[in-house]
This record gives sequence, structure tokens and C-alpha cells, in this order.
Amino acid sequence: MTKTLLLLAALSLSTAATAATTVDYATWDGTRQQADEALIAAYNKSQSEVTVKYNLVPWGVYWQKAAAMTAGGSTYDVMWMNLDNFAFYQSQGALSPITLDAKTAALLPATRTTPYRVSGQLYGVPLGPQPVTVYINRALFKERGVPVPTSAWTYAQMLDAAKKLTFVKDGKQIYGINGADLQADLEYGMSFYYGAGGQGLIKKTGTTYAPNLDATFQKTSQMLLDLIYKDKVSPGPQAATQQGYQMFLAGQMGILVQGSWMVSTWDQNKDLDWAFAPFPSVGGLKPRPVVSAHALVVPKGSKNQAAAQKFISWMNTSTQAQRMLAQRGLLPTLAEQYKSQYLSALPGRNAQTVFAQLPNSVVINGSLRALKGLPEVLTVLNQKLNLAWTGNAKLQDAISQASTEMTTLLKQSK
Amino acid sequence: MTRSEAVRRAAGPAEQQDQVRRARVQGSQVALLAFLTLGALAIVIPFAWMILTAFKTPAEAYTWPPVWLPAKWSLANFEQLFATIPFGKMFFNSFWTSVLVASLNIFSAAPAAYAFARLRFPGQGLWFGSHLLSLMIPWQVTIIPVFLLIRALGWYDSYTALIVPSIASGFTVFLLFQFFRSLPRSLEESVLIDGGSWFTALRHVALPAAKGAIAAAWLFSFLGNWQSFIWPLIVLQSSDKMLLPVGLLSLQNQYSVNIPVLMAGATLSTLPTVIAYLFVQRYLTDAAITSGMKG
Repeated sequence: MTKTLLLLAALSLSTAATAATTVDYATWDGTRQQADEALIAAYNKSQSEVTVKYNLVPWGVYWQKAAAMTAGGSTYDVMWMNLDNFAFYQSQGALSPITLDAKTAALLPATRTTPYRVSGQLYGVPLGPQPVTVYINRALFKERGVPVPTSAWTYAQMLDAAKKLTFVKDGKQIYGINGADLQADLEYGMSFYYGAGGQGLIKKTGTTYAPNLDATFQKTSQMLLDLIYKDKVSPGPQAATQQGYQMFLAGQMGILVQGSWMVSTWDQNKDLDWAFAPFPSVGGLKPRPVVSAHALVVPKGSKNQAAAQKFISWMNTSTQAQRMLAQRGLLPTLAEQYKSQYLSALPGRNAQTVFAQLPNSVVINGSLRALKGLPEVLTVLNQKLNLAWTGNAKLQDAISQASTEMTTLLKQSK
Repeated sequence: MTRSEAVRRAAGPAEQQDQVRRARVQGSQVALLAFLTLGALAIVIPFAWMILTAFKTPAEAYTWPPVWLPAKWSLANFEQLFATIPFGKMFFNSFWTSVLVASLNIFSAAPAAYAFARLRFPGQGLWFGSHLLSLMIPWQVTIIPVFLLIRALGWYDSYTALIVPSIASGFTVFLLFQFFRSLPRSLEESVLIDGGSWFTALRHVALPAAKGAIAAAWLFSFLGNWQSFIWPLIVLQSSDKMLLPVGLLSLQNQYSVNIPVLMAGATLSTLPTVIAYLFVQRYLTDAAITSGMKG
């Protein structure tokens, strides 16, 4: 009897010792689903202590679910996080600091990790850069006799191309570019603003902040707004029945400014002859497109902190994970080291232009993430500019009003 | 003078009035028919669009001006749907939980409704009022407290969390209460005179008589759970437990949505509700009339 009990106890102990910890990983990004699932399968196969489970939570409800879970104390172990929401979750104490060994930490690109550092501690590790890129429909370019840009492109050349690409074909309106998506305060529009020499929408002097909607911002905004109302190469709010990417997918748009994450979306239309184009330079300056830096974070409520951090480290720096991402047409964290795999995954798409723009790319409002009330300040600007973009206000008035209201809000912020 | 005018003049005043009345009735019938046709079209067109889009290529789905029919009918979107999300599993999860919740709902609501309709007991008004009150409190208000309770009970990420809070429904109690109240008391009195209990009366008289109302209540509950979105999203974490509405939404990304695949999923997800409705539509109408819930 005693022997049996001892045997059972030993068995249960050995089971407990070998039972894998389950790490729940949550993301909203379905465009990376296949890659994420493949990575997780590879990680689970590579070791036996941790089993990672993939959870796709739709973007439309991701943050509601995250908020409810955080409030209820039941969280995922690893979460996909964007910079817009990071400040809130971090300031609420809902995230755990991530401790990486010195060698791993040294590998990570500082430009993208800095916004996730608070008081010297790292709270998120950006999984690969997701830059704003320019896509073109090569078939339309060829049809209209427009030279396909390969290594350099100016804004004037892009505008000229957009004009030629705006025409009616078989009763269908074809547009040159998605100007409605290029509102100057958002990531696509701001890519032109930074490229035109913009230094940031909010300026810090000593300990005070003030709006910086300067001449560069005004000029860039006007230039982008003109695509809709003056140059008429883009559908405006009245004409746009489909979103820009949908028109591009349907072959009804020549140039599309969007993110590198759209690559898997283009697979929906196998007949679409798409390629990357170089980001256009403004005023002879080097392009500085925005790069998103979505990161992996560990919620404080996670009961598997160590396993979660180990998984994050593997995703960001292991050779296997980096190679797998690049082979699926996604830029890995250490993008430059896996350039050949990335280019091989996207043959004939002029993907080298994405690499060419990376060193000069910029994280949107990267230095302001610690500023309290930043979302409210940016919302004011967004709302005012939206009035101009939808034809309901003059641009100068919108910028002026935004500046006034931003000043008031910034005086209350620290 | 036209022929019709000649006929009208030849007819007597009573006949003229009759003709005018008939013309008015015909006119109002035509107007009613036109109104109903418009209403039917407003309902049918989105459905038709959904089904047709499920067979289109993305280029056809996004093109402007829109095209109604796909150039080539293809099942590619359905194939992609099953490749993108575990549609079969989610469909099955939604189906069995909806059937179970709807059935348990009836099981708990029918005795309560019958008791409120027939028995007199202390605090009856208060109890019934509390049931009605549950219909008036928005679910958004209770979601976090109920979630905390679920977590405290250790039910998080389990079907128990999904099913148990949905078993009791003030709406179903009210619906059945209205029906039981309309039943002639003489039906049950014969059971009671013969020495039967109220429970016997419920089981052998009231419930068989309430088949239609029960079918309607079951269907309402089934539909409510079949379409349930926020609660499953909150209390379920594992992808393999997820229900269909949440799965369909995951086809929408932050920046894009594959509309033809989404429409393929939406088309398939409407099938159970359409089939269930076809089976019990007669009961639905009856229940709406007898329970005073119409309109």
C-alpha cells in the first residue's frame, strides 16, 4: 500500500515537473496570422517547457477585451501592443518590465525600442519594423506610359504620375493616388511631413510643451490636400465609395501609400501587378517615412512572466524566428541581417526600396510618448484636420483652431 | 364624354359611392403592396448582396460602379474562409451552446412564468418586477461585475461562464407569463379538482398548450445566443472555444478586411437561423399575438 502511494506521488511529481507552462499570446493582426502560427509551432517544437497558444482577437474589440481582462485581473501572457495604447497601459501599471540579457538588448534597434522605455526600463519589444511604403499598380503605369520608379522618386514625379493615372476606363474611374488617406497628422501623411523636414507636431522647451504646426506642416498639409481638391488625382470623401486599398485591389488606383503589412492583402487578387515604389522625396530632402513599432508586451497580470519573456526574446532575436518572418515577406526585428530572405520572399516586387528607406525612417511622435494627455492633444488636431480633408473647413482655419486648442491642452500636460 | 363618365352618370348614387369605395380600397391596397414591396426589398437586397459577394473575386467585390453578379461563380472564398479561421469548430461551438442555453432558458423560465401567472405568494409583485427590471438594465452596466464574479468562481475561459449567466432570462419569463395568463383557467382547474398539483397542471396542461409560445421563446433565445458577441469575447480566451460571431470579426484587420471571405462566412452563419425560422415561423406569429409582444 505504502509502495503504491509512493509510486503515485512520484508519478504525480514527475508529471508536474514535465507539464509545460502555457503562455497565451494575443494579437489583433490577422495579416500576420500564418506567420505567427508557424512561429509558435516552431517555438513549441524547439523546447518542451513552454507551450505557446495563439489567440487572434479582432482589432475592433481588442482593446475592450484587454481593458476588461486587465480590470478583472485575468490577462494574456504576451500581448501585441501599439504605441498609441502603450502609454495608457504602462501608466496604469498594467505592464511588466521586460528584462533582456545584455547581448539580446544590444541587438535591438534603439530607434524603435526607445518609445517603449520608461524610466530606464523596457516595457515592450518591437517585433520588426512596419514602415509606411508606397505601392504601385505596374499594369496601370505601363498602360498609361508612366515610367515605373525603381530607386528614386520625387514628389513632383509622383504627382505627375498620379495625374496621368487618373482617367476613365471602361466606364470606371481610375484614380492616381489615395489622398483621402494622407491626412497630414496621421502616419501616411506624416511620412511626407517628416520627409519635408518636419521636426514634430509638438515642441518641448524646457519643461513646457507647445504645438509646432509650423510652415513645413502647413505646406505639406496643403500639398497633400491638393491631391484631392486641386489636382483631383484622388477620390475625395464624396467620391470615395471604397477605401483606398480596396480601389487598389480592384485595379482602380495607381499609387497607394500604405504600410508594409498590406503585402499579404495583395494576395487576395492574384492578377494585381503590384510593386513597391521608392518613398517620394520632398524638396530635395531624403525621405523619412514613418515606421510603426508594434511591440510584444507582458501584462502584469500574467502568471507566466518568465516564460513570456523568454518567448518574446526568441521571437525578436532567434535566427529561426527572424528567418521565418523574412521568408514570409515580413520584416523581422533584425531586418538588415535577413535582407536576402525577405527579398527572396517577394521576388520582382522591388522590395529593396523598403530596405533603402529603413535607416532614415522615423517613429511617429516617438519622443513624446511619455507626455500625459498626448492622445487628447492629437485627437484635437486630427478632428480639425479631418474637417479640412472632408471639405468642411479651410486648411488654414483648421490648423489655426487646432493650434489654439492644442496650446490649451498642452498647458495642462506635463 | 368618355365611356367611363357615361357609365358613372348612368349609375345611381349608391352604386357611385360603392365604386368610389372600391377604388379607394384598391388604391390603398396598391399603396400597401408598394410599401411592403419596398420593405421586403430593403431586407432582401442586403442578403442577396451578401450571398452574391461570397462568390465574387476581390476585384469584383471592390469595383466601382458595383457589379451584381460574379463573372465566374467560385467557391474560393469559402475555401479561404475555412483555411483562415476554424470555421467548422466555431460553428459547432456556437450551435451547441445556443441550443443548450435556449433549452435551459425554457426549462428555467417556464415554471417561473407559470407561477407568476397562476399562483399568489408573498412578494410576488416584487419578484416579477425584478424580472422586468432585468430587461431594463443595459448589459454594458453589468458586464464587468459579472465578469469579476465569473473569475472569482474560476469559470473564466470555460463554457460554464458562457452558459450559466444566460440560463435565466427575464425576457423569456415575461413572454411565457403573457401566454400562460391568456390560457383559460378551466383547463387547469380540472387537474386540480382531480387532486393534481400545480406542477401536474403545468406539465400536463399548460406546457402542451404553450407549445407555440415555447417554440417562439426558444427561437428568440437561440437567436440571441447565436449572435452573442461581447460576452463570449470577454469570458472566453482560448481560440478553440471561440464562437462564430467573434471568429467572423477576426476576418477584419486593423487596416483591411477581406469582404468576399467575410461574406462567405456571413452567408454560412445565417443558415441555422434561417432554417430554425422556417420551422417555427408560424409559432412566432402566434406567440407575438397571444403574448402581446407584437409591434
